[in-house]
Amino acid sequence: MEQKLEIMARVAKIGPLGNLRGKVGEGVASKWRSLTVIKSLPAKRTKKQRKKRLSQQLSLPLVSGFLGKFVHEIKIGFDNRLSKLPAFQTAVKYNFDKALLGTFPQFSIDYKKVVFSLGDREIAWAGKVVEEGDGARISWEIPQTSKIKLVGEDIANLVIFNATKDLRPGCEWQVSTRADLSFYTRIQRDSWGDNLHFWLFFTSPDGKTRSNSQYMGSIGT
Amino acid sequence: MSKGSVTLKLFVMGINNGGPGGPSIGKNKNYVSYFRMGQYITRTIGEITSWTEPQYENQMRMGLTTAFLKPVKQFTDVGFRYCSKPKSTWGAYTMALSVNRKAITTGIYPNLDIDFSKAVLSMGDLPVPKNAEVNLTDSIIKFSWSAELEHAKADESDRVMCVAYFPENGQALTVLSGAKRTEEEQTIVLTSFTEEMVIETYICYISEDRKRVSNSVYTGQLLWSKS
Repeated sequence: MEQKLEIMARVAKIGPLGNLRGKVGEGVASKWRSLTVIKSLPAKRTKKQRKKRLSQQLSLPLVSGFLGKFVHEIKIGFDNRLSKLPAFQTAVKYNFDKALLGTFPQFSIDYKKVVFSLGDREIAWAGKVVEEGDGARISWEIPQTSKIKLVGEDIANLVIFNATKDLRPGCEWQVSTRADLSFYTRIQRDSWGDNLHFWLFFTSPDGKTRSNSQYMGSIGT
Repeated sequence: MSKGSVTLKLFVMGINNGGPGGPSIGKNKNYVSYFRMGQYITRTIGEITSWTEPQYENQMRMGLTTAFLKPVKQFTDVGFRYCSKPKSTWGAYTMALSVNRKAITTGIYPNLDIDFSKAVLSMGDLPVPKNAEVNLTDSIIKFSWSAELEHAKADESDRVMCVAYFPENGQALTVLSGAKRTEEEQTIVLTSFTEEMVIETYICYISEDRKRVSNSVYTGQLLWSKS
């Protein structure tokens, strides 16, 4: 079997300056399975890159980088014990297919189609977001046909994304129940006036079932 | 439904009715035997990574059908509960899937689509609602029908069950115990939409003891728009 020659050294003791990381001359130091190792620099690529691969290298980090900000929500929303993949990978796979816009080399994310949660429970019907003071008021409806005593106690999970600064503003995200029909959330000062996107999904009080997440709308520009 | 690197477990099943050594339970090489829904099952364990073209077609048909049936599962669980099924191990959902899979998927692979007018959401021996109609005014869907009490199997206490299904967001509003047959009118109040919505509607009867139902009737497509 042909094997690639790669020289690797293990750092036996961590010095007074802390952990090694990065390039040191001809080598590069990194952490690998709790060990600090120094490897030789990889050779320069000589083959021409295919467009398909370049496209993948651009689009996949876009989706996984975006979803990476919402790991806690996705752990709840895509929790499925029957699924072979972990929750986050399932979310990346789903959103890569559904929410990616554009072609190489210009990709973007369609915020209206991003999904943070998949499940059988009733969705947040007719969701709306209105700017109000230092925050936003999120409201939804319960259809006449639903059994309010069965679904009224569901916990509302809010997801906010700041598209202007590309960050997730901190907020209280499990504050309300479905029967409240609306709630007010205060927004951090550094996100005031920015373009914010809102999603909402419900989880049952015992945490076993969840609804699909719905795009509620956006505020600011 | 792409030909990606999806891996699924292979379910090749056989019914194991005992044999000389009695029924076996447990694992033997790449076979596993166990008890499921009243019968002993033996199947292989393993992974399969590629399928033939007809298998892909079947997967796509199955995907379309389950996407349609999942939001109306409450309805089909009632609608198919007491209908005759080919096997005792079939539940209501299996029956609904079996009936609808061939009926509603139209077109030639890979351009398959759903024909909502052919969907069956309940099966039974009650007479179907006669002159069933549906109207949309100011976000209220109004179902109407004629009572037709002369029919031998029709009873005054029968109620209607209605469905308003939204293909856009894959959700449905269902009424499982609606107005009585004699009232001739049932409404579903829609939530406030912001974009144009297509609504597919169905109706059927159910008896007071909830054991007998009629076949479901497709009452047509409605279009909700802002104006």
